[in-house]
Amino acid sequence: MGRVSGKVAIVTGGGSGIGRATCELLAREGAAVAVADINEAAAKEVADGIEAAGGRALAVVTDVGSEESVAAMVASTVEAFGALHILFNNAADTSIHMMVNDGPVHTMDVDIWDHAMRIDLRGVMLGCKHAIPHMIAAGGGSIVNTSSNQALAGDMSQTAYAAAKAGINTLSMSVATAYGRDGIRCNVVSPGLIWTPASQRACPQEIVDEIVKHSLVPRVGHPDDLAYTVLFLASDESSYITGHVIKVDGGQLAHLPHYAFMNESGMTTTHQE
Amino acid sequence: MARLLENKVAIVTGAGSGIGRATALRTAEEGAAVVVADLNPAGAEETVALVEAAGGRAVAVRVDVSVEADVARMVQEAVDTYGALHLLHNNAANVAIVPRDVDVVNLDVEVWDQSMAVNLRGPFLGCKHAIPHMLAAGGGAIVNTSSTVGQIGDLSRVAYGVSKAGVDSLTRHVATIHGKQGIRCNAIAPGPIFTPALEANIPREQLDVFVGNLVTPYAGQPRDIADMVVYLFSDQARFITGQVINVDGGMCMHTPTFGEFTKGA
Repeated sequence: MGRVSGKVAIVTGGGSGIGRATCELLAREGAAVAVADINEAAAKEVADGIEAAGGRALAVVTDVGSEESVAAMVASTVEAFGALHILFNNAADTSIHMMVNDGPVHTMDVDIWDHAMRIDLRGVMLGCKHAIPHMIAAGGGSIVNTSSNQALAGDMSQTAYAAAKAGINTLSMSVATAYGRDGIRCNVVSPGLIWTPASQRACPQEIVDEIVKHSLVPRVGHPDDLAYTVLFLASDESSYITGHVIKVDGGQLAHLPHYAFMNESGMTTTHQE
Repeated sequence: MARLLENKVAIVTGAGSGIGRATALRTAEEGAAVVVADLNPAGAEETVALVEAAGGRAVAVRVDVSVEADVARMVQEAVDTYGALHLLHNNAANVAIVPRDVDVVNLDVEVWDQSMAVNLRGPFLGCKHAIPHMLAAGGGAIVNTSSTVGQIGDLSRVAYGVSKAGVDSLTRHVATIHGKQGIRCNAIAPGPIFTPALEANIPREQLDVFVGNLVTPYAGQPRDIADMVVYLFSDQARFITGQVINVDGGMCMHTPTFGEFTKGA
């Protein structure tokens, strides 16, 4: 008996990285999984892999920037598997184009801002909007949204991405509040640096090294680190947890910013005898 | 005593009424020349008249903060009229739409889009166009009006709340990126402030419940926010940046049963 046996899940951005790892884990733990991704080949590959391993999956081409597409994603999932219990709103535009051009506000193209809001934030709202009626019909459900530590602390770039992710944190509390009595829980996972294809494209080794110096768990995160957290939040094991933002970041935001320097230099803020 | 904002130039958006008007008045009172920006030109003119009657300097500008060209023109007008720009209060929000801003399932997508366009994209555009002038002036201070609804869940106002959370994050990023260049950026999260917009858009019974959850014996007034804006604008706040400061009568710091347990007390 799996930890999410008998449940139906949708994972957006399910074709790679965090989404892919979560699709595979949810399927291993007994859920029927709709692998939603804008990249058809990637979604198919993940769904085929799940089925080859004996699981149930459906590839759904989805552009979370389009309401029609999100509505169709939900409808085809319910049609294929008969219900909907779990939604992992995970898709975001992490293309190099966005990473490079989402910088300081005074030099940013307004188009970059608008695009980040449309995909990273509005897409999550659309997922909730169209999934919740089916979850209510099923007697309840669990929504997990992928945010980012960028939403919790200022940084030198990724301004629009961060504002969109902060919106997700608040949207999740609103959804948890509005639908709690309908048996729907809504939580957020807030990743630090996770070693996905997207971050591998965007992150030079020097940046990775710096981030790891600031991690209390001295390594980059793995997609499975997120997948296990999502599995817990999706399952009934977490039935008293709702409206939370859970950092899955190796402790990156748990310490004062001089940590790395002090740690490396062997210095201490307390006076030694 | 020397005034706090002598020789400074400020823009206040949404200054035709409520919190923005109070800020324009206080900012001018402390010596700044103020661009009173609002979608409603009559409201803006009225604020300018109030500033001038009190001996201050102000000019009215009509602006739709969701339109980039408008925001760019507003900033240009500040610089053309007063020669520089040091202070920006991104305060405008679409509050007229709030009665239609329900829960996600029943929310018109257009209400979401419009809330984002004004409440979040507007402050982004304000920062985008003001910062180059602040850099030219050697520094500046930005204050964004956020909301306590941006920090915790509620049964409605989902788009408003989400847009304000975005404002908080934008605030931290602007503060981080431009801090070394002498620009500070903070946000204020007001609790219920008794503005004309609040009283028009939220039913009386609900306002009573809001007030029951304040720990102060009185409700908030626009002046309460304006005083905090002036403080954050001033050099007295020179070590404060990237913060979201609740000015909410303690509404969001107590256990949620507080209101019930103190009812009638």
